[in-house]
Amino acid sequence: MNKSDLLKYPLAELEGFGRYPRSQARVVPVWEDFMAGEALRRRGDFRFLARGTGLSYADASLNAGNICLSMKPLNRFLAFDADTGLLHVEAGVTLKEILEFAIPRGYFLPVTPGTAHPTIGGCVACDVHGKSKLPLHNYLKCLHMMLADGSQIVCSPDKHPDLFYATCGGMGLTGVVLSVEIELMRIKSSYIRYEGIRASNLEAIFHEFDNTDEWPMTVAWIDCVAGGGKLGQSIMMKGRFAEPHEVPRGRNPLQVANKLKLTVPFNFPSWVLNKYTVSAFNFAYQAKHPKKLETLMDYESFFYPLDAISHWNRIYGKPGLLQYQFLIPPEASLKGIRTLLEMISATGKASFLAVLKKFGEIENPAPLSFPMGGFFLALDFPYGDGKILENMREWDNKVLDFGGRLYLAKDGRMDRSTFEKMYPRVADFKQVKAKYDPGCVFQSDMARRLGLVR
Amino acid sequence: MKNILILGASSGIAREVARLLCRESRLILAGNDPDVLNKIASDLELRSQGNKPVVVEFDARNTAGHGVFMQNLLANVERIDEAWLFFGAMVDEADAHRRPELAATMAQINYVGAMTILEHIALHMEQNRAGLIAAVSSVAGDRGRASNYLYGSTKAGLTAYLSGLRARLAASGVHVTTLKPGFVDTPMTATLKKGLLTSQPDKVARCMLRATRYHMNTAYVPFFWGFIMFVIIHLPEFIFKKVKF
Repeated sequence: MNKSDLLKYPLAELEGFGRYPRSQARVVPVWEDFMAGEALRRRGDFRFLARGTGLSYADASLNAGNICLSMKPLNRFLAFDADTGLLHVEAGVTLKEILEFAIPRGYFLPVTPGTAHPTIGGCVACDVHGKSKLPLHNYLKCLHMMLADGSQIVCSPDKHPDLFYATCGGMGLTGVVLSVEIELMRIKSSYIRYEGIRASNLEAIFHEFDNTDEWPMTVAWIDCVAGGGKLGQSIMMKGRFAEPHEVPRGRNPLQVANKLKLTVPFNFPSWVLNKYTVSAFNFAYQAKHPKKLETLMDYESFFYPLDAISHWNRIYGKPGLLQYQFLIPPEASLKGIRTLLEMISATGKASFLAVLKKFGEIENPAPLSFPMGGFFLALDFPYGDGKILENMREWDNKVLDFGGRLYLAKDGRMDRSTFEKMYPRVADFKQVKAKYDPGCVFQSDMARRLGLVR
Repeated sequence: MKNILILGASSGIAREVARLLCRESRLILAGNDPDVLNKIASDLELRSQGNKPVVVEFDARNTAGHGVFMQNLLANVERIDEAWLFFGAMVDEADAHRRPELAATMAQINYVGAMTILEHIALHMEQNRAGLIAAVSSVAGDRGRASNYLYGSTKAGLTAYLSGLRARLAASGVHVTTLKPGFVDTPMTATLKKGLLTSQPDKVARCMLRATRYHMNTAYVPFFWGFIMFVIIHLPEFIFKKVKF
C-alpha cells in the first residue's frame, strides 16, 4: 500500500497534443526547486515524471497512476549575457516567452519546433530540431538538474557528459531539468526571407533539398493524397533571417510578432477530416502557390503557422490524432520515402499535414535523440476508429527494413522490439539511467511501453 | 515612476501581477522567504530591462512588527503609491476541525495581519491624499459553505474590512479595490481537484490589473464568478444548508 502523503494530490486526466492515448496522474506543481525535492523525498512507491505544457504528441508526458511534476510554474529568467547571448532560464519558461525576451535584444532561438508553446525543459527532453540543421543539444551550455534523491547536479558536454547526452532526447527519464543555459543566436531582424518552390514529384523535391546549403532553415510540405506521377508533389520552403535593409522602412526590424489568434472552440465531429476535405485543402494550398515565390514574412508565419489557430488538434475530434514521423538514412531515403508514401496512399488514409526534411550527415552523441543523416517525413492522421494502428504497425516494419527510426516525441504506439532496433544505443541510455537513477524513479507511460524502465 | 508595494509577492497570482507591473514602476516585493523573492526579483529585472525590484522581509503574523516594517520601508522609499495585498493561507478544513488552532493561525494571516498592515498603509496614503490599495479577498468570503467556511470566514472579515476602508479613504482620494478571485491554479490550491472553473494565474492577474485601473470597488475575477456568487448568495438558507459543497 502506498502511504505517501502525495496521495492528497487528486488524479487528473492528462493527454498529449495528439490527445491519444490518455491517462490519469497526480499533478504536483513545482513553483520552486525545493518543491520538487520535497515531493521526491516523500515519494513512497510513486514514480515521477517532469511535465511541461504537455505538447509532445502521445504518451511521453503521461505517467499513469503516478506523479507528474508540473514544471510550468517554474518559469523565471535567471541570467542573460547581452554580449554572448547566453541565457539561463528555468525549465518551465516557454519558447514564446524566450522569443519575446530575446528578439528586442537582437537574439533568437537557435532551434525551434513548429510551435512556440512548449517549455524549454520539454524541448531539451525531446532534443527538438524543427527547421534547423542540428538538434537543440548543440546549443546548450549546460543543464541544471535534480536527481531522484533530491540532490542537484550540473551537466554539460564536458561535465557529466553521459548524463547530459542521455538527458537531451531522454524524454525526462534521467531526472528533472530545473534550468537550462542556452546559447541564443544573433539576429539583425526577426523577419524571414522566404523562398518557396513548387516541386511536381518526389525526385524533384529531393533534388531541391540538394540546393539548400545556403539556407539555414528548410522544410517541405508534401501533398500525401496525390498518387501516381504526382506522388510527392510538394512545396519547398526555405528561409533565412532578413538583413535589416530588406525589412520595409517604417517597420521595426526586431519586431515581436503578436498576431490575432483564432481558436477552435470545440471538438469537430471526427468525419470532418476525410480524404476529400484533405484533398481539397491540399489542392487549394498547392494550387495557389506559384512555381517560385520569394517574399518576406514575420517569424511567426514562417516558424509557427499553426500557432495562429489555438487548439487546432480539436479538428480531429475527440478521438484525437496520431503523428507518424519517420527518418530514413541517406542511402535508402528516396526509395524508403517513396515506398512508405505509396503504402500510405494505398490505405486511403488522409494526412492533413505532411512535412519532409533533410538532415545532412550529423554526429549525434545523444543515444535517444532522433536526428541522424537522412530524410524524414511527418504525417498526421486522425485516430478515428483506431484501425490506423494496424496500418502503422506495417509501416513500422518497412521503416525498419530501410534502417530508419521514429521520433519518440511523436509516437505513442510502437512496441519495444521495434524501438530497440530503431535505437541501437538504447543499452547505453539504460546504463546512464541506472547510474543516475538507480531506483528507477523517473518513468512515464512511454518508458514502460518501450521497456526503458524495469 | 510609481512605487508599488506587493505584500505576499511569492503568491502565484502576485508573481504574474508583478510581471505586468514591472516595466513601468518600481516594485517592492514583500514576503517571508527572501531567497524566493530574490529569484523573483532577478526575473523581473531581466523582463523589465534592468528595473530591479526591492526585496523586503515581511511576516503577516507579526502584527506588532507591522509599524516598524512601515517605518523602515518609508525610510528607504519616499512614498507608496500603490499597495497590493496577496498573502493568504488556506488550511485543510478537516484537519482544522480537529485542531482549531490551525484555523486561528489562518485568521491571524488572512484577516488580522491584512487588517493591521493595511491600517498602517492607509494612514500613509491618507497623509499623501493619494494612493491605491488592491487586496485579494475571495469568493469564499461571500457565504460560508460547509466545505470551507473556516477559510471563507477569514475572507468575509477581510471583505467587510476593505469595504469600510474604502468608505473611509474615499474622502482622501485613496481608492480601495476588493478583488475576489474564484478558483485559481496556485500553490494554495495545489491539492484541490481542478475543473472547468479553474483559472490560470496569468489570466487572473490581467483581470485584476484591469479592475484596479478602472477603479472598480469590488471585482470578481474572472468576471463570471459574479454570476455564480449571485446565485449562491441568494439561495434560501433552508436549501443552502442541505447542499454539500
